[in-house]
Amino acid sequence: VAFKDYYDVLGVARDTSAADIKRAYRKLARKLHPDVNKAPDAEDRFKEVNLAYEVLGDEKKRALYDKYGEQWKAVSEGRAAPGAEDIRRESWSAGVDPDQFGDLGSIFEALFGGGLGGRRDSSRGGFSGGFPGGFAGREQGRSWSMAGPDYETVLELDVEEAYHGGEREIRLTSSTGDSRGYRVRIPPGVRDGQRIRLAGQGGAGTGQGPAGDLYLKVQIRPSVRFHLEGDDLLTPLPLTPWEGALGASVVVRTLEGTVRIKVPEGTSTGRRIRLRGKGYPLAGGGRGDLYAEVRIEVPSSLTVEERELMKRLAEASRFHPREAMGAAK
Amino acid sequence: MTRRMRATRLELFSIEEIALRCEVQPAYVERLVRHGVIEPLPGHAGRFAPEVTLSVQKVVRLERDLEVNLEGAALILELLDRIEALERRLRMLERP
Repeated sequence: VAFKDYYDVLGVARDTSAADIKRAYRKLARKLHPDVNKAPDAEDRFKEVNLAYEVLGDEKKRALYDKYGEQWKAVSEGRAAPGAEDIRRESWSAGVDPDQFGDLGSIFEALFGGGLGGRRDSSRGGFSGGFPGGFAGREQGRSWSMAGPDYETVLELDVEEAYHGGEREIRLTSSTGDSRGYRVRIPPGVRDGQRIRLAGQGGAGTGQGPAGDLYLKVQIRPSVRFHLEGDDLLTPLPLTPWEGALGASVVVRTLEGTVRIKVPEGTSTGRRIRLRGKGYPLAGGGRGDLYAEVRIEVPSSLTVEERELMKRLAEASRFHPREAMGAAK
Repeated sequence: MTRRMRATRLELFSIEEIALRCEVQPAYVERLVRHGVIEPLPGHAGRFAPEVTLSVQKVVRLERDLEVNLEGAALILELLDRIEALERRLRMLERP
C-alpha cells in the first residue's frame, strides 16, 4: 500500500494550525465514521484519517513527521533502517492490534461496519471520559478476556428467494480479498430488514471472551416478476389493447405457481387487480395480497390486417382520453 | 472453507449478558434502556433480542470515536434508522 501523506489525508496545508487540524479531523471523522457512512471505502478512509490525526494532532509527533516524513517513527525510535512493517503496525494501532486479535478480527474488520471492536482497547483512555462512572474498576477485572465484536452485513435476496427461504451458500469477502463461505438457513417469508443471526461467527474474543455474532441483514430487492410495496406484492401484467378493452381471462404467476384471473372490460394501464391472500407473508401472520398491475402494450409493428382494423377503429371510436386535460382532439 | 450453520433459534439476552457481550457495565446498558435506545422484547419482561447488541456497540463506537454524548449517539441511531427506511422506500420505487 502506498504511503499517503498525513496532511493530504486530512486535506490541510503543512502550516495549518493545531486548532484547524483538529477541526479538519473532526469533520472527516463525522463524515467517514463507518457506522454513519455505508460507502465501502469509508472504514478504510476513517482509519487513515485517524492514523493521520494520531500524528498530526500530537505536537511532538507532528514535528518528527515534518522532519522525517514517512520514516518519522523509526527515526524517533532510533532504528536505522525502518521497514514497511512499522508503518503497518502503526496503522493497526488506530484499528485492531494484530497481536491481540485472531484471524477473524483482521479478516472481517475491514468488511463489516461493526468490525471495529479492537479499537475499544487501543483507545482505552477514552473510556473514562466517554462513560461517566461506567468503567470504574474494570481495568483489572477484564485483564485480557474480551468479548468479540458483533458484525453485520447485508444479505440481498429477491422476493422469490426471500419467500421460499431455505439453505443458501454465501461467501463474504473482505476488502483485502479474504473470503469465507457460510451455509445459511433463510427462514421462509423472511422480511426486509430482518436479521439472521449466526451465533459465534462474529469477531473472535480475546482470552476467555466469547466470539461475537454475525448478523445478516436481509434486503429484499425486486425481481423481474415481483416487487414489494410495503405489505403489498406486485407483479406486472402486460395486456394487449383489445384484452384491456374487451376484458380477458389471463394466467398470472404467483409465488407458488399460476392462477387464472379475469381482467374486467375497460381495463387501462395502472389498474391493479387484487388476488387476495396470494401476497407476501405478513409480520403478524397471514398472507398479504398480490396485485397484478396492468400495463397495456401495443405491437411495435402491425400486420396489414391489424393496421386495417386499427384504422377502422380509429375512425369509428369517439374515445378521447385527453379531453379531461382540455386538449383538442 | 464453508461452515454449515443454522440461524439460531430465538434466544433472549438479559442486561448482564448484553453488558458482557458489549464490554460495558450493566449500568451503562440500563442507561440505554432508560433512554429508549434499546427496548426489551414486548411480552418478555426484561429480556432483549440478541441483535440489540449491535445498537449498543454502535452507541459505544459513536460516543468514543466522535465524542458525542449518549443523547447524541441515540439521535444518530434514530436518524440512521430513518435514512434506512427512506432507502427502503427508494429501493421499492427503483424497479428492475
